[in-house]
Amino acid sequence: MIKLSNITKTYKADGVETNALKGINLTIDSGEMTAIVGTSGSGKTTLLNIIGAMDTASSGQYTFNEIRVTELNKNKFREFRKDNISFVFQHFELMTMYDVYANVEMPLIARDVPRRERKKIISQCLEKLQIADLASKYPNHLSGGQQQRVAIARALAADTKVLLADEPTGALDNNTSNTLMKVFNEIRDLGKTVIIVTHDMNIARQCKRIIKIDDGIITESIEKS
Amino acid sequence: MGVCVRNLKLLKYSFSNVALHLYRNIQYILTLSLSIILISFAFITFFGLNSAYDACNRVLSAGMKNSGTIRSLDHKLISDKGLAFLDELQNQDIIDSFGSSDLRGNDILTDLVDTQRGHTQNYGYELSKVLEVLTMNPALFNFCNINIDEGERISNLDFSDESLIYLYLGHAYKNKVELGKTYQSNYNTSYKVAGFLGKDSQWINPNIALLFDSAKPTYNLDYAVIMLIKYPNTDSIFFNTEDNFEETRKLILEAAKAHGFTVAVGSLQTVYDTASTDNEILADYIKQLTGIVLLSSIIIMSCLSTVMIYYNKAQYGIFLAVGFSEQDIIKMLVFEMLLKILLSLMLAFPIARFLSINWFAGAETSFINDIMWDKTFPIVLAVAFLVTLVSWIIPITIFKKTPVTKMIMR
Repeated sequence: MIKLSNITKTYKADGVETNALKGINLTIDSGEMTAIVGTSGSGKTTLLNIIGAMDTASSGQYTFNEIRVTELNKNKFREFRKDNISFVFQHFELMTMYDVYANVEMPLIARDVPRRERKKIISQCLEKLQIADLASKYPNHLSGGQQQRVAIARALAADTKVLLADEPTGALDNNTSNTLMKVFNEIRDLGKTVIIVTHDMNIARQCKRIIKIDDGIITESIEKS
Repeated sequence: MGVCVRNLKLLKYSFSNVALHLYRNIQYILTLSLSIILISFAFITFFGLNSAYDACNRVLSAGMKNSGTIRSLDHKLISDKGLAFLDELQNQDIIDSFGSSDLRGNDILTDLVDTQRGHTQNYGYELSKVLEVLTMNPALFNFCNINIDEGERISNLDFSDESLIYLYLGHAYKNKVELGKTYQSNYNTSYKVAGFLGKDSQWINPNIALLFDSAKPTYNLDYAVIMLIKYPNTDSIFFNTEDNFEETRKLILEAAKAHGFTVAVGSLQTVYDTASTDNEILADYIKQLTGIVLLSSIIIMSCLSTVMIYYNKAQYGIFLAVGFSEQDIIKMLVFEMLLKILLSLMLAFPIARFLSINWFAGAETSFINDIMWDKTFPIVLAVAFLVTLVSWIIPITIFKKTPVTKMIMR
């Protein structure tokens, strides 16, 4: 379970302070599929980065299950991210010089998974995302939807409890976006917590819970029955 | 096992990265190569100077402090007047040894010419019938303590017959020329092989007195032909005296004047002192130049590395996002760095070697090529590593201070 208590984030640039998050209180249960929606600059990506341990909060308390994330030192913080969080980015962020197989293999290398097991996991992930036939292709030769599937397969290979997606459909057309949302739902069905940041309400509506954020404050939390 | 696999993969990622961005990395590699070449030559010069100084110090400390050269300025010493002049010097016991290096066409010692061809010390004089000989009087031969491997010791030779000239041959002639072989010339002079020198025997190069900054300190005598004669027959003679050099110099000048000669008498010590001062100034310039090269290389390579870090920051961000640690990324950067050093060395050293071989092709300076491999290579290797390490301090600091989110941010 993710629990944020009074989380703030302040950026300083050229002597000017900007409050990106102004006291966020939020609880997300395990296995939940949540959308964080908001306009550009509302603080939704900052919130996602703090949940994903890509960034630290200026103040407040972040607890993940029993772990007090805000109190972790740098190494433990990174270990926490490696053990618990996977990311899917808007622009896929695949390594174009490596083929699909090598891209999906990366989180497994980082986690020192033995070769035979890596092969098995990659094969399962590619099958799950229906891109097994693309294993030897390079990202540049794939469509946007296929690239995002590879990015999701990479996130899935890490086998973390939480998958965070920052505007995962932002660079895709409607049909491809809807197909990908089904994939995210399937991942949720595997028992993983999925948090999607989006500005598209059509995408958000496909999640069980919608959290609206505006100017660094949660303004609304809608839960579908 | 897992960590080992991860490191191997990191190595692979690094190599792919260098190969993929080779056109960008090429600037870095070229800068490092250029600085390796320049630093190589700076160190070669340093060691070259030191080597010449060392040799001279050995010469001076071995008793040659009272050594010098006599050079005729108007008349050739190879004349009756010249011999009378040299005879007078020896009769006064002022000078006890003479020597010089000489080239002469030779139709008699043909088997010696054939063996020596391609191995002469004087580069560029490999004419078909020219034999390079070291002429010295027995006193100088003794003084230089040259090792005789086989044959008669010099003390056992009889020099009373002036028409007989004794030869000591380098080790290369040992199985080609018979010991005791006598060659008869048309001028009522005969040459007899008195002995063979030990392998790798050395002789101090007399030209070192004139060419401190570039002279080969010693000769290898394996292909040498040493002719023992009372007076060397060249215009420039290396001599040694056990007396006070200044007094000897005065006597030589007076004797020369009496025989109608004008000669220049140079002291090894004076030449050494003058050359030392000149070379200290040169060494200072080289030090400054080396400093400028090192500093420039560090600045340029720092800039190039920083640009590369910025260029690849998204990639490093992804690596961090998928679970790699900062240490893993730094390992990748170190692997990249090592690969670039390797490529730079592979480029720079053959170029430096090629230039060195061509620039220092002469027998007098060819020892510099040996200095390059024996002394310069390990130091330049260390300097290349040091320069590269220092040039990565700023980029790695920037990398460590950049948050993952900013790395991935487009």
